[in-house]
Amino acid sequence: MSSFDKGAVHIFTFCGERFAVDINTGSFLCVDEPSYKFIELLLNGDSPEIAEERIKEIYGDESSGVAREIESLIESGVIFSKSIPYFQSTLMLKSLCLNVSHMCNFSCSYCFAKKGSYGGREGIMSVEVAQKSIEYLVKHSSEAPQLEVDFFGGEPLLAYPLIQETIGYAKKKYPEIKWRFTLTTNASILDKEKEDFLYDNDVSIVLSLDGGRAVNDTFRVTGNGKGTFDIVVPHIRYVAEHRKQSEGYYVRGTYTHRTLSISDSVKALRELGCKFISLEPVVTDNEDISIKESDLEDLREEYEKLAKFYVESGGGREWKFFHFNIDTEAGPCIQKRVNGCGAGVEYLAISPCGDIYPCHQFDGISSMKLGDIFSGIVEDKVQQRFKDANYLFNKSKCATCWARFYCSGGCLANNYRINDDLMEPYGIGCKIQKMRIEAALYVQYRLNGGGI
Amino acid sequence: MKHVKVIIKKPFWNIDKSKDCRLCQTPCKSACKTSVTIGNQVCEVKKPIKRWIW
Repeated sequence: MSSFDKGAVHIFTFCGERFAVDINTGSFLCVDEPSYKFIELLLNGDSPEIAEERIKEIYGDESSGVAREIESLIESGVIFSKSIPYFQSTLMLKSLCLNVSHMCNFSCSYCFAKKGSYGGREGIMSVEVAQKSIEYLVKHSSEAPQLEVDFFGGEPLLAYPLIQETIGYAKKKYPEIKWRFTLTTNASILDKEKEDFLYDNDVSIVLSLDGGRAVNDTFRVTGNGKGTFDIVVPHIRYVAEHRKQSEGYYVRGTYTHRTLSISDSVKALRELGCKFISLEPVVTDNEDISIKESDLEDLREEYEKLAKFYVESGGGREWKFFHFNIDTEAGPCIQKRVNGCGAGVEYLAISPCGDIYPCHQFDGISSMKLGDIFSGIVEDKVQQRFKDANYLFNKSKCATCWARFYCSGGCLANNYRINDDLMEPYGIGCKIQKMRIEAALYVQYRLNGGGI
Repeated sequence: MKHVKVIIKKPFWNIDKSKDCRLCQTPCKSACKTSVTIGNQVCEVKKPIKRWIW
């Protein structure tokens, strides 16, 4: 047998177990120590015959049958597989982020939106801009059967009447379209009446909360520096209880260099009754809070603790941690996996005054403004940069990365924020992404009964 | 003696590769907002979801 593609399989250990992932097919295997070594030798360029001799020298009879078992998997295309066909999609608009409020009643120090204003003037979107945005989305979506609108900010519920009106407008004017609304809120003014309206109109909610009181109140504070935990938790509890059976919400926190204990944070959120939880790393150049290379070892330990806790506390059945969602039967197709997040093409963000940006994280960056909702996209060259950057294989570092079909090339805004380059991946973010994929795969292993 | 357990078999191949419907949610709009989490999504042709955030 000829030599193997060194980039075809990723091997790793997690919680003391050994695993292999076939990069092209996503096949995922738990392997024993001799098998792990055998695959490692193949990846290092040894032939199966030499690799078999080597593991026999190291493991003796324990290695008996390893070569045959692995070679059988290779022959059936489970590992060391060839690449499957994919192509660069012609992305069409299908999703808008309406930044309905460039204001916030909180003053969280890590906020990428610069405490709601995105570095500009505070303001609330007008009814005219919101309705024009809906019309723009429908007009440019090439008759997509379902369209997405996300109410974002700042704190979007400061524009609650506008949100109500916009949802009503979209549904009434375009009843043939399946509308999918989401709202990201700090939950401070999310009372029963608002939640009932959002629920009745099928609006999914992302609720911001970083963990227990001490962690949350480290950064999530009011304008006068007061912690926000006690303000928001009653509202979050109401939503969690109200949506207990129907899903449609996530409690989403941010962790930082100073709040790295994600396993404790998730446990705290579970104790509050949250069933759907997500924690994301802060992305910032602020040295005080940014995740550093030196944090990664601790973070890996945290992911290991969290993965064990997840499995042992009914995760996957009774509750979900977003990063651990890997659907083994109905995950996204390969086309989805190679065509990026869609920023600037499939997905656009609209500021309160109607300016169009590639995504919510680019709001306020004048060089990235694509146009406005009245004149449409006029900066074709800027949009072309996003068309190019969305395709996974246009980013040289991503094209050969083992994790490429899980993150689809990563977040363009993070690349720009950290490296000033859409095409240059944010290195720390990549390392965290890989870590959490390994954790998610380990969870799958455990949920499938563990063992070999 | 068994040395390997296949936990997930060719999951990227479980969909008709010729299709390009992009029906599923824009990844950044789900529970992250600051990263791309396509690997955590589901194909909505194969598995329609109740309320559509996951």
